[in-house]
Amino acid sequence: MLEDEKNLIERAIKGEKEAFGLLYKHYQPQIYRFIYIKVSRRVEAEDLCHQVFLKAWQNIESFSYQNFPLSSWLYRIARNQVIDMYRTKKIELDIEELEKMAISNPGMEEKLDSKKEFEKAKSALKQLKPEQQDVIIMRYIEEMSPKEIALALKKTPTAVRIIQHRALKSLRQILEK
Amino acid sequence: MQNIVEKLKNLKEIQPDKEYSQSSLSFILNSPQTSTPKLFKISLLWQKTFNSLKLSSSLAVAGVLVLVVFISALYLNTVVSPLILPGLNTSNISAEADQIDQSININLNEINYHKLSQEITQKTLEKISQASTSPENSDILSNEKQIDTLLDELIK
Repeated sequence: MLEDEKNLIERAIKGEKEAFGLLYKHYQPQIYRFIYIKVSRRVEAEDLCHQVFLKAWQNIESFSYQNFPLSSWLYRIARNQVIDMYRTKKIELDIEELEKMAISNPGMEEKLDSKKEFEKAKSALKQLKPEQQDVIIMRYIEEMSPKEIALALKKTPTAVRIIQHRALKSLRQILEK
Repeated sequence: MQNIVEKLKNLKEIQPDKEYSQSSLSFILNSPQTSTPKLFKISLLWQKTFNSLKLSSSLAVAGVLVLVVFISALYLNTVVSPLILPGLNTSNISAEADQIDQSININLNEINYHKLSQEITQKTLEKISQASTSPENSDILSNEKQIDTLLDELIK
């Protein structure tokens, strides 16, 4: 969580652009990642991510800090955006996009075992149920706690742990094929 | 399992384009914040207030409210109770009835007195009128006239 997040949120509610800018810079990469893994297209991911933060800026007044952290709220918006997009049009996995992304992030390819490895992990993740995808992304990529995930997905931490267990089991089976 | 988790962690390298991020942010910040309807604002404030209250404070507030209601009920019972209203209080009604009864008795006594005194007066007047026409009275009157003339002479 961002340091002095509560104060930044209060300032953003009052309309302070600078405060919201700091929140954006902190949370935008992880929200973008979450959306990108789920939609697989850079253009769509950028568009949806933009929509998420636009909605957050316009409705930050309705955000209640006592109930859950801002990240959970942003994930909720992002999830709804992705669901809405899938309702209107179906997107298939685009390997070319993946390559483009790797090119636009030169350092990334070095860190990965190989581009194929990256692709394999991503396509395996895509085969999971949407709910399982959410839990795996939040738990293992964003390293969120089960409690935070539970708040974002409107579930209990126990339910999150069960989904996580089933998702990992399915992932193992997919990757072993 | 460890291998899967490691592979997944590699996906953290996915980063948004910097130019895109910059332009998106500036577009967002230049768009107006939605003005929330007043009613929604009130409900949010209400929700926030209650969310901020913990169980103990909620119980304390509830206790205070119960006390206020109890005191109000007690106050209303002593001040505005229908049993306190003069029109509905039985002891007040009987006292008032007694008072009216007494005043009626007084009036009846007065009427009796007036009637009696009228009768006496009438009888007395009749007696006087009868007496003024009797011959005994004329003698007395003539005697009185004589005395008067004698007295007048003495004075002269």
